[in-house]
Amino acid sequence: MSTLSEFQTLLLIEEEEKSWIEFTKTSPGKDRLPDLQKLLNYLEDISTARLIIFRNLDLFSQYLNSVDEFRYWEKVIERLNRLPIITIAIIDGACFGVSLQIALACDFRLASIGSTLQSSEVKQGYLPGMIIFRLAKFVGLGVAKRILFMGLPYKVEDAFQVGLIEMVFSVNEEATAVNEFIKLLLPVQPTAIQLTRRLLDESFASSYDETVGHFIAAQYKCMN
Amino acid sequence: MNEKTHAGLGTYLLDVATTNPGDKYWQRDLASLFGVQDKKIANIFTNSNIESRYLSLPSADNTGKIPEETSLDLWHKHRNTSIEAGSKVITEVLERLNLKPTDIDYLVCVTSTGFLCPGLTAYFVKELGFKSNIHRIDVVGMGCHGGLNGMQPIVNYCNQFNNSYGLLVCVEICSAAYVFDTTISTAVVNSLFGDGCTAAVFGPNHSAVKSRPQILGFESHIATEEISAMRFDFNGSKNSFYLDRNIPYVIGGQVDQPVKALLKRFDLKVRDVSHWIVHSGGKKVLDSIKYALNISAHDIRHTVSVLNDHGNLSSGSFLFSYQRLIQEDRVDPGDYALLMTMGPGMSIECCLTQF
Repeated sequence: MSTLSEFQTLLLIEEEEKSWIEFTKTSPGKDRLPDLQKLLNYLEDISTARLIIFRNLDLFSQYLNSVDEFRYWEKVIERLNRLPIITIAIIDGACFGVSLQIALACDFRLASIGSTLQSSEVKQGYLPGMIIFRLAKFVGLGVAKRILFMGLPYKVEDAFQVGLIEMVFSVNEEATAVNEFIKLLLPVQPTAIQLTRRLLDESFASSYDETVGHFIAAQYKCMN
Repeated sequence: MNEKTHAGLGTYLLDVATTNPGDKYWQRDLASLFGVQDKKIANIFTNSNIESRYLSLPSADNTGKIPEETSLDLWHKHRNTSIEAGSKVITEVLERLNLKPTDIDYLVCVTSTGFLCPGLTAYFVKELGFKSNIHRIDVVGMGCHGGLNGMQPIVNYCNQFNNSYGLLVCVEICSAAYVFDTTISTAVVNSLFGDGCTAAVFGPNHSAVKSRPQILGFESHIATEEISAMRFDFNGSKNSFYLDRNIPYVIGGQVDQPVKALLKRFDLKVRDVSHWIVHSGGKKVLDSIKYALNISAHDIRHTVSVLNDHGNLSSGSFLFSYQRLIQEDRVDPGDYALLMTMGPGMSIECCLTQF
């Protein structure tokens, strides 16, 4: 196991093919951007991690204040979405704002009992980032409207029922629960993961004919 | 020297002019104009992700079909249309830059749709009054990737001699290089290519131009095990182009090699490229490149729109896409743009530029 300490607001712990990303303190979103960009560069260029787990997302629960902030964050989140790595968010506490954006950009979300998801931006008169694009894909339009229009804390137990959360665990069982879940995902095939995620995302907007062409191109890459 | 800090020096792509000779045809109409009865072949036309193409074809006869053209007809068509369309774009781009033909030091003409001797450069010198000691090269038969190959000697020359200007002309009269029969192979080709002509001027930083990229470097890749995958066959009287059905995926499988090699020379990654100007080779090859490089549909929007509006324009295709990027007016100073062409050989050519 090794720990990279060059980040200001997070800790990267590398453990064979897994990397744990722990947010270490509350800080404004703009101060976290350089760290996350550096982290993504590292994951893309150097790391051999095939699976990353975000922890302490509640320390990242904050709202963004300008269109530029939303633009920059979305670039980071979209890079996360393109990694040839499986991404998991552990939700422990209140998850809203930037942390909700990260959680929804991850492949899987695991949560401790009593945690909540919340998006109150619409009630405040603005849009909650590109979760407007991602949320309905998980839960359908009806539940997405309920979460975004009402802006109330949404219990992870309810989120589990609609497929937004993969697993709910009690706090003292986190390590076991997470490790058991990770075992189900191994071994990770990076190219297949990256392309499957992309094709699944695109399946909501592409026609069958278009997707067949994409599938053949992607499958060629996987099998050659 | 850090190759990224060349601002103010070096050679720039100053401006591009394009034209589509011939008439605009809707893809949905072309199969019946050629008298296609076979539904499978008709479907190849309609499922090509091409809406329209410009072609220089004879008028339909009294049966409503396009009459067959002889090889001599095709040869004349290539020569006459090339000279006319080429002269038009050359004149347009030079006028826009307030340059005269005599200001041009190096002329390269690229074509694969017909063979002329003397080559097109000689005709343009005669028609337009370039100086008699102009350096010139005719690039004939390299296919769709030839535009970037033609650009290389111009950029080398301009880098060598300060304040010199080079002109790249890509003239592809694809409707002068076809065979229409009932095979799937020719149907794929006949459903894909369109007529197009471009002229691009290279030279020192020029005050008449707002956004122009500096040419930073080139990278080539040839996979000769696929040398037969894209080729002209001579069927006895005409050249008939052949495209292997798997070649788009072979290109996708190898495209990261030249791209990453080129970017590495400048200490860059794929994520650092803001604009992708890719040859509009066809839907399959674009899908393949998109997934191979993990770039988005938005990244290749201009390439896709050129394919939709004009079909595959062979060597000049990427310059049509480049022109759309400039017209979009969304480039920022410092942005990197990567130009990429693919074609017979099998070859992939890349050029890195910076605005």
